Amino acid sequence: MDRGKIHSLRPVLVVGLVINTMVGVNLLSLAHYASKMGYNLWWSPILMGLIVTLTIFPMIALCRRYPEDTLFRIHEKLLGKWLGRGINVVVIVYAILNASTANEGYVRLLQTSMLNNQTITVPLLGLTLVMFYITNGGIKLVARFCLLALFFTGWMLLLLQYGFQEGGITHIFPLFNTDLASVLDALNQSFGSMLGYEVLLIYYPFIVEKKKALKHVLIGVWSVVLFYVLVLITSVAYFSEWQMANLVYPILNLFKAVELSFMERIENLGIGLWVFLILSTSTTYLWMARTGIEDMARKQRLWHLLLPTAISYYMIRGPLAVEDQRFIYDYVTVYLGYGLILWPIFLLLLHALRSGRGEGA
Amino acid sequence: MMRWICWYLISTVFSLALAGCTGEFERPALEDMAMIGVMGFDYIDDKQMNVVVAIPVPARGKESTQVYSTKASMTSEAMLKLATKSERTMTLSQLRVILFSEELVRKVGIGKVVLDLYRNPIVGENVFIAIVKGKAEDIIRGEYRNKPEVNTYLNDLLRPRVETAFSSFSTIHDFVFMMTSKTGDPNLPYLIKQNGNIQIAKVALLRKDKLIGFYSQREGKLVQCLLGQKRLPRVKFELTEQTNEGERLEEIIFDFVWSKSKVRSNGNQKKPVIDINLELRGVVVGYDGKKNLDKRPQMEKLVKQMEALIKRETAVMLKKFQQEGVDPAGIEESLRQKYYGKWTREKGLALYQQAGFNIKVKLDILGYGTIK
Repeated sequence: MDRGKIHSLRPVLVVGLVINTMVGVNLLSLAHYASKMGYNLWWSPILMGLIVTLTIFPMIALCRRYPEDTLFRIHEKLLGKWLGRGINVVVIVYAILNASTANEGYVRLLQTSMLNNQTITVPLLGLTLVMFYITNGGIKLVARFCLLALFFTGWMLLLLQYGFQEGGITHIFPLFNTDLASVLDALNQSFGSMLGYEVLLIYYPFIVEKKKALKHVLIGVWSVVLFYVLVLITSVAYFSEWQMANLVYPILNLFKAVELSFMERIENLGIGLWVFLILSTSTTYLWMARTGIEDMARKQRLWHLLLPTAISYYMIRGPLAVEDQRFIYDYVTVYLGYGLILWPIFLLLLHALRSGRGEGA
Repeated sequence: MMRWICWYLISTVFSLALAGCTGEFERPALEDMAMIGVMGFDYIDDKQMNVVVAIPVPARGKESTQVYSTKASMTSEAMLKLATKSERTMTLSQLRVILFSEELVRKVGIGKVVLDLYRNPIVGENVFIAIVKGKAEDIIRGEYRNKPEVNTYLNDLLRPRVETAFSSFSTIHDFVFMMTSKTGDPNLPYLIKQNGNIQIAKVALLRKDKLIGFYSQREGKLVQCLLGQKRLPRVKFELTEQTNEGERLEEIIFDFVWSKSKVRSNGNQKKPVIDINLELRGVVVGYDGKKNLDKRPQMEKLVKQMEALIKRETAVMLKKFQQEGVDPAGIEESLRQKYYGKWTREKGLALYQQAGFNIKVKLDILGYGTIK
């Protein structure tokens, strides 16, 4: 197992890690979240891609200044032991919340679509155990799993053609018929589907080719934007505006449009394979939480991984009401995410101040 | 040591959590399921409907059908009530056809029923919707000699085929799409039972989810062409030709092999003009007339005549729809594409009703059979 600071992430693994951490449970409802923009929603991922690109530059700039340190170590170096550790706890909580978001969204979908006459305990347990097992293998295994998941699920883009053929591509006209308020609302609602690249702050020290990391991350991000645009253009062609606003899982209905002579109800297959996308997201975040705890404890123990896993399981299956959970996943997680992607700018300023006074790295 | 304690704790916790999972009722096996194939809805009053379901009974030799009916105000309520009537567990996972009686569609509308089924993830996507003359129950309970069992029969009948492509093959998704679309009115196949057969007789036209009228098969073919259907059913054309013996009826049965329609508006809000370009290719399958189809000038004359005929028919049909304020052909979509601002159906209809049409037809005859 590749533990410790071994430079183990080759370029292709970085790209896979970025893509599959970003694509996860939020894609299932992407068209629904952005539906305020009406038929114009298909270009919203491009806007989000631009925002993401803008926030990647400070991240990479920060990481270049601390090439051997994760965000957690940087915090302790820049902010001092106690303040740094306080922020670290918030980041760890954020990571656990994201892992839970992915798992919860998926088991909820399972319950509405496939297993609607039973509770979610067993599927969730299975999901959590597999997540635990993969994360136990370290970041390289997580990244390899991401790459595997990409190949397992990427071909499903081909299935989009069925929905596309049935619909009318002319729905995309007129091209820019929307107002700023709708665009902002759509961006805010759907930005959760773009989160995932910020884990870069943690795995940067493990990247082999650090000089080209920016390029590889951007390749990953813009591939995701391309996937999203394809999915959304198909949704625009296939659905009416009312359907996009009212269907909770538009992807599920797009799957239903697929007609193969040898197989019926392909949505069950699609939803089944979706577990790869979910696991690739949740394992990355779980690894992030574990690394945080390890960096603070300065040693490696199994409970560093067990603790976040158990918390993420009991977040979903525990005493929290579904309403409260939804609030946490839809608002708290995303707003923490906004904070985290802007955080490197602040850290860079701090770094400049400190090195200006001659204390810095 | 720490490691083993961790494992022990985690497995205890998980096994405790598992204890709640053993169910008292097993999920029924496939043989114990009653797969509903056809559902019918009839009007009773504004709140209640009569819901009829047909379930095929798998048996060796002779196929048979179970039919149950109940009164309910929504589909899921009907399922609840019907469940106790059957000896097997009813499921909607193999639902294929939904029938509505004309009266129900006219008086109450079918949006509530369809959306209730659309919400249910068990219901698949290949469920066809049709409107029937009289009562849906009569169709489902009807005796059809030399036909397969009623579930199979109705499913086969409504399955997309070129011959019946004059109406939209509306699955649940298609209908919800048409119903919530802001650029057109839904249409559904209209079934009539006569002489022990069921026939797709004409096309029912709806506004949102209520029946407002009908149009003929012939009009339906043109409407489908305008909606972008590539393969259209055969059409019979009648022309009058001058011969030495006086006027004579010239008959052509034409098979459209490929068709394409382009509907574009000029984007003018005051005086909208809509350009409609129809490109049709096909073969003559039946011909009764004096022309020598092998001779180029005569063939060209026939093409010109048919183009003029199709153009006139399209214009007449669109004018009729325009006057009635209905838009089954989705012409409004071309107006929406050039409209900036908030699009509503009212605006669309207003623009549509004052639009002028500019129709062009281009016809290619690819062949005329083996005799000239």
